[in-house]
Amino acid sequence: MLKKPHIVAAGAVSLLVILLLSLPTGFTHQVKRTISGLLMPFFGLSSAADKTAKKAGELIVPRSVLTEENRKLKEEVQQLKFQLSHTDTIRNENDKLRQMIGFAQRVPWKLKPARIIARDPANWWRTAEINVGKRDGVFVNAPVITTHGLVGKVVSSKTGRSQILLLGDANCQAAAIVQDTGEHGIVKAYSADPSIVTLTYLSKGNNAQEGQTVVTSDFDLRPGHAVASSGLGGVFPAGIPIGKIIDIRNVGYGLYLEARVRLTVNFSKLDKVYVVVP
Amino acid sequence: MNRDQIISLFVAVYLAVYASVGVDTLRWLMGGPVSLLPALLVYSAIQHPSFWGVTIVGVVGGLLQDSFSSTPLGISVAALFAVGFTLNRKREYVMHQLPFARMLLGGIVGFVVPLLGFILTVLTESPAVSVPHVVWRLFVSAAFTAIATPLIFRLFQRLHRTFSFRTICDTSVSAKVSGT
Repeated sequence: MLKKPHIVAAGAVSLLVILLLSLPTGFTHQVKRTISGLLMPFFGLSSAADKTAKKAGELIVPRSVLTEENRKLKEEVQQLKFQLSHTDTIRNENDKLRQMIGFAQRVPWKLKPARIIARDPANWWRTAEINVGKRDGVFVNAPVITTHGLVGKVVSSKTGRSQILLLGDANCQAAAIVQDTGEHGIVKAYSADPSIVTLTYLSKGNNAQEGQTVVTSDFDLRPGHAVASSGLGGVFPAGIPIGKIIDIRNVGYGLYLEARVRLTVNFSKLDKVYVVVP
Repeated sequence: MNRDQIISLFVAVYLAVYASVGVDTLRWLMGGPVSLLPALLVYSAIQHPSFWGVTIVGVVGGLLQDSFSSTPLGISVAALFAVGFTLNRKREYVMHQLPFARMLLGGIVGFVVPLLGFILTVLTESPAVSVPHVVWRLFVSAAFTAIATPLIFRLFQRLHRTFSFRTICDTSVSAKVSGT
């Protein structure tokens, strides 16, 4: 048999594939993390190259542009300071009212900034790697957001990096609410377009009729209505923007509604994100 | 395969996976992820008569690629090795000297490898993708690999010329110039 080494090689590779596919999921994650760690020095190098390129770019920006930008930023800081003091007043008032009626106090978010260092090489999944991990307090199922809205959640975390599952992946679902009507639903993947998700299990927007068993609400869903996380399910905090409704249709033999939602976050341009840590 | 060829193939596989997971420009240009591994697979299957080339690209490349993906570990290994091994065993029957033939071969492998990977993925997991999207991505992958394959052949030929010893032969011209 050893006279035909190609048969030995084919047999060995087949055995390896069978072995890898039969490994338990938890162990497979560990093996994946270890193997992907081999490429990490390159990501460090590319990050250093990015920084150098940015520094080189900074050297050739004209002074007039910088002065103008500085002026605009100062104005923006003033406006934000005013908004912040206003928000603080409202927060204090909210805290007092919550205390008066015995509601639990809201836990403030702590945001850990992170950078996308790698993306899924396959066309059928929506995952990415970020450069923060367990040592930064990042844990599995931690929500990931940007200033535009919800991005996804952490699925596995190692010392210095984590893998995140993006919204729209088959394995990433989120409880959501239509902010204009208060309708609750579940955000699921939409297979034809990565920039769109499906908001499903929405109740119908008609007035309830006598003897009707189907759940209805008095509100009509319309394209353009904003969708945000509802906080149900315990993974994503409430109020993080998800997207806007494009269209609505009847599903489940007319039992409930389903809406297509265009995401507020552009995943193809995703670079910097924030992980919500306790 | 000699030691230099094995090392250069390892480095090429390493860089190919890095390009597909870490270089956003390539992803942006092609409208989604593309891989250089099918092009490397064609080169190693055609250029190296022994099966070590396709084994390196299939096993090392497949493992590295799957480790950055939600695809079950081993799927890319199976897809790359199956196609590479078949091509390697039948390379005498495949026209591969002309750049156009290499381009065509790259296009076919660029279509078949992700297709096989997708079929194996669907058998084990359930990704959320529509058929038109899959078909479109397969054609993009085929087009990218068709362009990349002749370039990979040229790159390795240049590397081979640069780093390997060449036999010195005395021609009548060189003899005249040196005055011997």
